[in-house]
Amino acid sequence: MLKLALKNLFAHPVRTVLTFGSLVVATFLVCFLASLVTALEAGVSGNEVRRLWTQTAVSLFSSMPQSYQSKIESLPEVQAISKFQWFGGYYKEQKNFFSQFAVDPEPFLELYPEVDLANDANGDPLGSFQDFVADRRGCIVGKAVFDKYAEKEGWEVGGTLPIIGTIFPGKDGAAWEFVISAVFDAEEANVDKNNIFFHWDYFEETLKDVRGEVPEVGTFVFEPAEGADLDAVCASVDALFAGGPMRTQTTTESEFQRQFVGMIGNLPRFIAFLGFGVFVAIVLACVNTMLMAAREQTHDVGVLKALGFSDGRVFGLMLTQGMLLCGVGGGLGLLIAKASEAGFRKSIQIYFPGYQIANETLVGAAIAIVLVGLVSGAVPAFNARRMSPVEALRATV
Amino acid sequence: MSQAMIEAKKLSKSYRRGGEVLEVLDELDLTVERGGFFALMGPSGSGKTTLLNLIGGLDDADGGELLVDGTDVADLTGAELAQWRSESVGFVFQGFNLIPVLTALENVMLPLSLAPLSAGERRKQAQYALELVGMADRMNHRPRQLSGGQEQRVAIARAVATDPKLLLADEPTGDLDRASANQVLELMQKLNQELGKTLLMVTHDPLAAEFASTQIHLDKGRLAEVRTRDGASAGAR
Repeated sequence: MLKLALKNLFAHPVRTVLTFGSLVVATFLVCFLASLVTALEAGVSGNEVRRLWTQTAVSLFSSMPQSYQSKIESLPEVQAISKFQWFGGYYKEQKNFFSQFAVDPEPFLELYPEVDLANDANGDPLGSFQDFVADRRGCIVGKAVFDKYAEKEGWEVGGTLPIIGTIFPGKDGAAWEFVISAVFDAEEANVDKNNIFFHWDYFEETLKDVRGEVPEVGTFVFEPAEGADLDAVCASVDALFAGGPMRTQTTTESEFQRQFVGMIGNLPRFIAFLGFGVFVAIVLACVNTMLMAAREQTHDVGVLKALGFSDGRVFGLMLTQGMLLCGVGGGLGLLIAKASEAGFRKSIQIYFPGYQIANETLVGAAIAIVLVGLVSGAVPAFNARRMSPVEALRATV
Repeated sequence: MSQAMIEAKKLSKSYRRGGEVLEVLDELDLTVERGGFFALMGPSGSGKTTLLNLIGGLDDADGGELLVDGTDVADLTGAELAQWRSESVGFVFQGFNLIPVLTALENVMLPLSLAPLSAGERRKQAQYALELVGMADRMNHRPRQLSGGQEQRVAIARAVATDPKLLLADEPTGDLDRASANQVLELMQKLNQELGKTLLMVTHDPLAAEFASTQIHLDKGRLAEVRTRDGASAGAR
């Protein structure tokens, strides 16, 4: 039966190969798009940490006075706290864009225990966090961005890193000069290895020098005391500034990330919608292919039944054809998606850090393939099953 | 065991076409004895193919009784009927109806896949059937690589591969030239005479009917005449 199903499938090789091709592309796209969603949501769903974020109640683009930090710190439920300020610069040319943040080094490292020191190819550590803390111009660079520019531009630990500020230009438009103190890595997907963190103090001093003003803070990130009720802490923080010039909104890190991703529209939902569209399109294409194939095999169905093949066996034959079609095409799509993972990760890591074809994605796509195979095989299989042999033998196809 | 291979009593079948009921078989009584070669003849619409389909368990009768080799096919469920067909009846069609994607050998092996045989046994039995019809040297050819006569011989090999007692042929020479038709008819005669198969062949062709030992004529769904080669009424009534 399997042999007959295979031979029937390739009775029209061009049509079958084209359908395989569309299945390969569709399966790859479903995996790719699902992985983009996963990458986007990594910072949201991937973190189980208890960090809380405070921003203004107006928007992420508004800022708060630095004095808010000491008020937040004064709450007994609050432990380590760090400023977190988006810098928005680029390296040499605008196309060399990656994220930079001004932070308070020591609290930052305390708040992010999942940030590890990266090692070089020999297993030696790339710099040290102590150097970062000690050097006011020091910065720590994510491994992904470091690897990219170490190869292309010769970045190295201890070297100078010029960053041209767009929101915060340097003196006379010159680049800000940081020193690469260390390279960081992390197991967790919610830590973006494309980021650079540098000293708030250096940021503040330079701005005072250039603009003559004390910078405000975009966000504060802090950790509540062990056992503290997160909602209660958020409410306590926001209550501090309820009557002030700039009200605040304090949320969990997950919620903060969700809102951040939501700022560019509901991109995950849009991508998921695209993936679903691709899935529906391929279901229709496969059902169409199988219906055409089944129509051409109407006589064969009559012959098989006349030879003594039961309705169940004929049903199984048609279903097997649908499953084979989708299994082979979809399986190839899964292989290509996995094989191309490293290449895509490298090329889109700036926009989708943590891009990877997770096992869950592969399993989900495989289940989707099986469903497509079942649906596309079941429709003609039911038709073939209920067709009488006489009707099938008389059919004009 | 009864001498009758087929016993039909008051067998009736009608079809509904565009709101009109067509009586195709009208309380037909017919007995076909075991081991004969019968040509089923009659004008178009006389019920020949319908009768063949009922005997082969491909269609259901509206009324009456039909015993084929002692089995009342109306009593069988769908799965039982399929199994009975695979073991008891071989079909030969006008249009040959070989599966186009399979070779001659694979086509003949197809009904054997339903039998409790090993792959080797299936292959051996199919090769024997192809040798029987003189097609062993074409066993790896696909149907489109064969002539009409060759295709029909492969179809006959497929029909006899499971060694059924009854062969049902619906206009088996209808799509063939005279020379090929005669070869096929001689082959069917051989199966009847040497292997003892009971053959029931629907045909419009008087020359083809001459190969049968008995001609059964239907008219308007009823038995009109039974004529043996020597003019006597024997073997069917």
